[in-house]
Amino acid sequence: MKHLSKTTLCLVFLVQTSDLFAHGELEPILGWQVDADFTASYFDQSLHDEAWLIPGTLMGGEVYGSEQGAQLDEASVGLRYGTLNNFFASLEVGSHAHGSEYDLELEQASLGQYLEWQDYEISVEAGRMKALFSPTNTQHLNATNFERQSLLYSAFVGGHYVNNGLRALIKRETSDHSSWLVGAELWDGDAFPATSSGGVNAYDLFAYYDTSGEYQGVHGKAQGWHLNIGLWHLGTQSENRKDDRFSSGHSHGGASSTLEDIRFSGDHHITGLRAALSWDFSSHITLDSTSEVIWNEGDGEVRDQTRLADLDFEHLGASQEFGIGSGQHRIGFRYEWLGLKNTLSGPGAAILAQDANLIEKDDPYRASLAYNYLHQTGLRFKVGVTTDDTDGEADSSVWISVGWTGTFRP
Amino acid sequence: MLNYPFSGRRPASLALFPKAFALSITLVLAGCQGTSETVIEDDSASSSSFNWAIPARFPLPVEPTGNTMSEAKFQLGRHLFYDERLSGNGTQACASCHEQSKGFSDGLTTSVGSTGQVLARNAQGLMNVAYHATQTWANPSLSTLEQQALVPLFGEDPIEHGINDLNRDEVLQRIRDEAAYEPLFTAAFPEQGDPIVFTNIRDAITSFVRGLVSFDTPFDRFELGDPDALSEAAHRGRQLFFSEALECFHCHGGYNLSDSTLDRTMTFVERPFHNTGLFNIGGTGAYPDDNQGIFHITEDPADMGKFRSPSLRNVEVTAPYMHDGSMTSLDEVIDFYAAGGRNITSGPNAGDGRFNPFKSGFVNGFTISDAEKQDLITFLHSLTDHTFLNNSRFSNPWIPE
Repeated sequence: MKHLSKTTLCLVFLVQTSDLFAHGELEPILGWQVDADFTASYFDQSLHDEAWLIPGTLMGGEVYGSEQGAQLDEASVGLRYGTLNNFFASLEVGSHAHGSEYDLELEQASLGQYLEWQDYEISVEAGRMKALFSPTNTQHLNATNFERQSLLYSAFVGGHYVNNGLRALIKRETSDHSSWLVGAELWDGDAFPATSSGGVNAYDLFAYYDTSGEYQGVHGKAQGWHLNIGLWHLGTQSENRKDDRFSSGHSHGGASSTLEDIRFSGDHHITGLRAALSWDFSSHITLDSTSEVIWNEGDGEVRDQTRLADLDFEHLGASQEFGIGSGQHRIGFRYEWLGLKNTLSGPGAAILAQDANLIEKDDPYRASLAYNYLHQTGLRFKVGVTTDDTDGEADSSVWISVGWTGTFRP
Repeated sequence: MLNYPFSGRRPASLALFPKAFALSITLVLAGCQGTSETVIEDDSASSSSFNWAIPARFPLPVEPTGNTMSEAKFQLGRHLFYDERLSGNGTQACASCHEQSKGFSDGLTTSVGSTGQVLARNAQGLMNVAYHATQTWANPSLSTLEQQALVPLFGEDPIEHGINDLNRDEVLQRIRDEAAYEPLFTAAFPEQGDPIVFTNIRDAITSFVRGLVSFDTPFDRFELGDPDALSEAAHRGRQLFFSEALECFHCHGGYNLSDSTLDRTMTFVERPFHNTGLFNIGGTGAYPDDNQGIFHITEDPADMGKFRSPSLRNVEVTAPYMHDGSMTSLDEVIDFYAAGGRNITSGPNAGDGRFNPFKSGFVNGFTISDAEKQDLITFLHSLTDHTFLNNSRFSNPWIPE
């Protein structure tokens, strides 16, 4: 472990940027496994207020702004246990910065079983879980080149989707280097953008194709490449959903309603297309590209204490990330963009559009450039710059971070 | 917080890097923008044939379908509003109890009718009355101005204008005999052959009163985005007003500083009334017999002493305060709410209002220093609309300018 070969390090980067799901539900383990992770950062400038509001979209969940100063962004400890007959249990506790406060949250508490049937590998699991419809949803910050969650996931699913439910995964290997993964998840909906009202209030379906191979690279040497591409859909329904980031139940200031008074009832239909490609440009250099496009559509009604309006929304988000790595060094660039179209109708439409922060004329975007250094102990140092124009005001900040990821199998 | 090394100042190259990065990103991606939009379809909530002359940010008042607003009706109503001939004995106009310089109140503890009868209640200011969910102090069934206007004109207890079956024809003839009125009535009601009738008089007066709207106070300008519109003291007072400690905003919040507000953008109508602990006669929760709030209408014991929260617009000039005009200054009002009610220790109304069993849960008392009280009063003064108080559009047309 002390002296990792360059090839091993390249593979480590490949693993970190490729699209294995965080918990390897289809890689059964025997006995205990402990995963630990933390990342902390310092931002030179505030990119937005603590209550990060992106005009044009109703937000919620666990999304908070990037403020000037230092903070512990994430910390988590996870336990997995697998038995001889392929039962497994998972537990993960995490802490996320909520502005100036920190909450301890149960991210995972589930039981499952791994099965094999003919050429199919099957996993069923129930409990509190992170949704697996996209690898982006389960990524810890320390597994990325950057220091903030995906803008698309911040805007559309409240950061990341964690809920109580059932899951079934089916994987089939089509060759030595290729496989299909199909999954379905049902949720009780007690997580943004859904709300819980008994029964199933959210579901998702997904399918991924994973393949790798070799090609004739520089100087005729065989170089590796890896592709993971997938399609997913998340459907949610909500009733009287409010932005949970505002703790009090009603507005305190000013002459008009504020977001604290706003409630949404309706459906979200969120579809994503994700493609991640990495390849060894040479024995020393790895390149990768990750693209994700998300369509967030839906309809419902927005209301405050006295007004009501119908809301139809068609949102589009796109994220493109490029990376280049060599040994322990990595440079990454990410551009994220949102197109937000909302139509409100009814006598209260104009005022509710204003009070619900749904007025948007410009497309929010964020761009980041970062350098990463991965130490052989598992520490990861990052330094980068981010320019953010998501809240109606363009700001830029230099930032640094340090993180660590480790896995132990006693 | 980490400090930059050595000088404690950002290195120049580091300071420029994020800006340069931002500029390069902006230039490269300038062509990829422009799909976001918000479409508003408000079912004509923002359109009217009448020129309300209010900022676009504020919603329009409800216009009754049976009396849509027009400039002609507004001007006719303005003439009638200031006309003393529109009373039984020819001595009382609407303006007798509703003076423009006093925010269309009258500065009296309670008003006096045309026959000298003293009314039980204080005259409320008429600014933005178009937005009231109910009219008068305590009648949940009077939801339109058209319903309310008949009360001062034809009411018998108390007598205000004193028009009754014995004198109504005479009053109407006075209006007919005024040459200025024929063209005004014809313009306001062009489809009618003989428009000088009491229903049209009512509709014209209510059109004028409905048109008494304005949003030009320092508070309004601050809410519309002018950070310098409020003085520092007024800003501190605003924070007190909207704090959970004082809870003023619970009954006097919203753009019209009253929780009894209705406009055409609303779907859910709230018509609240509150008992603030002014009385608690004999410890029974009772109010004086001639002023018991909506209990007089509903006969529900729990409604004893409940009155509508008036708008606080122009509160600086609409003293005295409360439904009975029993408080003469804003100092006294703030002290009353800070105490959580009024304790009357002697006389026929003796009782400790602080313990009125029907008192609103929002009136719990609070601690406030003298300096904070002055800040709060300064904020309340920022609700004065001097444009409205001096607007010739609302003034007496019978007096040459």
